Amino acid sequence: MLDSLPQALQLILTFEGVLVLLFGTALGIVLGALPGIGSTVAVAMVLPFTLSMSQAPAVLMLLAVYAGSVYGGSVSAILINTPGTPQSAATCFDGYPMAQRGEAGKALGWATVASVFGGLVSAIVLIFAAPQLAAFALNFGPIEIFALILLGMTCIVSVSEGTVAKGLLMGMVGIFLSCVGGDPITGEARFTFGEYKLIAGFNLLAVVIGVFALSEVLIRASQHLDPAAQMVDFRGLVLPRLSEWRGRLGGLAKSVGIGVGIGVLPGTGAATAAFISYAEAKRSSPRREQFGKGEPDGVIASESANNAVTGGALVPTLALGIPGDAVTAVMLATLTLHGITPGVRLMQDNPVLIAAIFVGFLIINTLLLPLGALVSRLSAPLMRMREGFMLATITVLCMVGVYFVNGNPFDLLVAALAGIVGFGLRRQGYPMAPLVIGMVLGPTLEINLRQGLILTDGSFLAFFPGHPIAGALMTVALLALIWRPMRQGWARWRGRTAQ
Amino acid sequence: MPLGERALVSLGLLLLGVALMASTVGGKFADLGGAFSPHFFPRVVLVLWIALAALDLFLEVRQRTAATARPLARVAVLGMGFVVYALVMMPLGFFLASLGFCAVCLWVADVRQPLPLLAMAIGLPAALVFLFNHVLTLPLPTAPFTHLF
Repeated sequence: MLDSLPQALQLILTFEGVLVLLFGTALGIVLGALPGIGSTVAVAMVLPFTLSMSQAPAVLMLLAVYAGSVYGGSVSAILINTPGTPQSAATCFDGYPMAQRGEAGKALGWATVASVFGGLVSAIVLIFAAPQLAAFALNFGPIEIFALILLGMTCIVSVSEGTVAKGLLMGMVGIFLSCVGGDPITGEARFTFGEYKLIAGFNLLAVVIGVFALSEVLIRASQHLDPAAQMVDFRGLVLPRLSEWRGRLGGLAKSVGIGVGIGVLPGTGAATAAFISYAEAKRSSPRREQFGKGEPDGVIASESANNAVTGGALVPTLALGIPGDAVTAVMLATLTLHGITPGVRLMQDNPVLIAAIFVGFLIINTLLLPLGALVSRLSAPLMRMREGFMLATITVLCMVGVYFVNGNPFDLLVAALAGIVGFGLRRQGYPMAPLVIGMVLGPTLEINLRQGLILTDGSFLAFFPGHPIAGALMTVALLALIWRPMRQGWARWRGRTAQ
Repeated sequence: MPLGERALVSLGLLLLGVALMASTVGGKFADLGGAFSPHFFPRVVLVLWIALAALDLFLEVRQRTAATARPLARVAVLGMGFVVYALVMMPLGFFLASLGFCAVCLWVADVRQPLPLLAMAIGLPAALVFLFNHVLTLPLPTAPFTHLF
C-alpha cells in the first residue's frame, strides 16, 4: 500500500481530481444538511454524473459526497433539531440544547472538529489495517451482532435520566413501531390491520422528523412567540479553543474507536455507532450529569463516531465485496459499473487505485473543516430569520425531506401524526430519544436475535458457549445497565459508614 | 378520585399495549413456531411495553405530577395544518399546498403584515420548487394543471 502512494497522489492531484474533492465534499455537506436527503440519496444523485469520469475521480466523488453528507446531517440537527440523516439523531440530544442557549456556532464547531477527527482516524485505519479489520469482521455472526445491538440499547437508560420508566416505555414503543410491516424472515405482514400502506412499515426518517422537528414546532407555537425574535442565534462556526479539549480527548478517541469498529461490521451502520458511542460517553464522561442539556461531550461522541463509520464501512465493501449499508451498496454498484470488482483480490490487483481512494478519503475528511466553516458562514444569515418564518421553513423543509425518502405521500402523513403525537407525549414528560433509538436499533436487534435462536434451536442460553465476543458484549451491556445503581448504592453505603 | 392528565396518558399507553398484544392472538400465520413466528419478537416487546406502562401508571398515580399548562389553540390549528398539508400535497402539488400551509403557519406565529406574510408564503415554496424541480432535477409533486410547479 505505502509503495503505491506516490502514484496514487499523481492520480489525485490533477485538475479533475481536486475539483471532484472540493465540489463533492461541499455538495455532500449541503445535501446532508437538507433534512431527508441523507447519504444514500445524495450518493445516488451524483452516481449518474460519475459514469463519464475515470475510475479514481468517480469513486472519490462518491466518497466526498458520502463523508460530506454524514457531517452535513449535524448542521440541521444542531441548528433546528432536525437530523439531516438518521445517524445525526444522537447529535440533537446535546447540539440543539446548546443552540437554544445561544451556542449554536460553538456546537457546530465541536461537531466539525469531532467529525474531521473521526473521519481522519478512520481513513488512517483504512490505509493501514483494512485487510486485518475485514478478517476480524468475519467473526461477527448474528449472535455477536445481537449482543452489540443490545449494548447499544442500554443507551436508552442513559438518555432517560429522571424518567427511566417512561424512557424504557418509549424505547419499547420505538422497537414495536419498527416491527410494523413485513416480517424480515417470513415476509408476512404484521400489525397492518389490512391497510396496505403499512406493509412497508413506518419510515424511520418520517418518524424521527415528526417526533423531533415537527413536535418542536408545535412546542414553540404553544409558547409565547415574539414575531420579531430570532429562533437561533447563529453567526457561523466557532471552533473550540485548545484548552477546551482538556479532559475530552480520551472520550473522542473512544468514540472514534467505536465508530471504526462498528463501521467494519456489515449491517450495523452509522446511527448504531452514534447511539452506542453516545451511551458510552454518557457513562464515562466526568460531565455526564450535563448530558441532554447541551454538553459538548455528547456532540463529540455522536459526531466523531458517525464520521468514523464512513472509513470503517469501506473495509468490508472494498476488502470483501460486502456492502455494510445502503450507501456502500450504491458505491459497490458504481465500482462494478467502472469495471472494478471489489473483493479479496482488489487490493492486490489495483494497489494504486486503492491507495488513491484511501488518500483521497484522508483529504476529503481534512476538507470538511474549511468547507464546513464556509458553508456555515454562507448559511448563517438564513438562520437569523424571525421565529415565525423559521417555523414555517422548518416544517416545509421537513415535509420535503420526508417526501424524498421514498416519494411516498403516506410518509408525509406519518410525519405529521408523529409530530402531533410527539408533542402530546413530550408534554406529558415522555422523552423522544429512546423512541428513536428503539426504531433505529429494533430491526437489527430482531433479525439477529431470531437468526441466533434459529441457529441454536431456540435456546437463548446456547448464545454464550462458543461465542466469547457475544459473551463479553453482553457482560458489558449488563454492567452498563447496573453501573449507575451500583455506584449510587456504593455512595450511599459509604455515606452511612462515614456517619 | 379522578386520574390526572399524565396518568390518563399512561393508562392509554397501557391499554394500547394490551390491545396490540390481543391482536397477535389468532393471527393467520404459517405455523412455524418459535423464533420463526412473525409474532415472536413483537410479543416479547409488547410484554415489556405492558409491564413498563403499568409501572409508569403506578408511578403517575402515586406522584400525581401535573402537566405543564399551555395554551393549545395555536397547537390545534398548526397540528391540523400539518395533517391537511400532508394530505393535499399530492393532489394540489407542492407549491400550492406549501403556499397555503406557510400562510397559516405564519398567521399562527403572529406574522400578520400582508407583505412579509405573502413574500414568505410564496417565496419559500417557489425557491424550493426551483431548486429541486429545475436545478437538482429531483421533482416535487406538481399541480394537476401544470408541470412547472
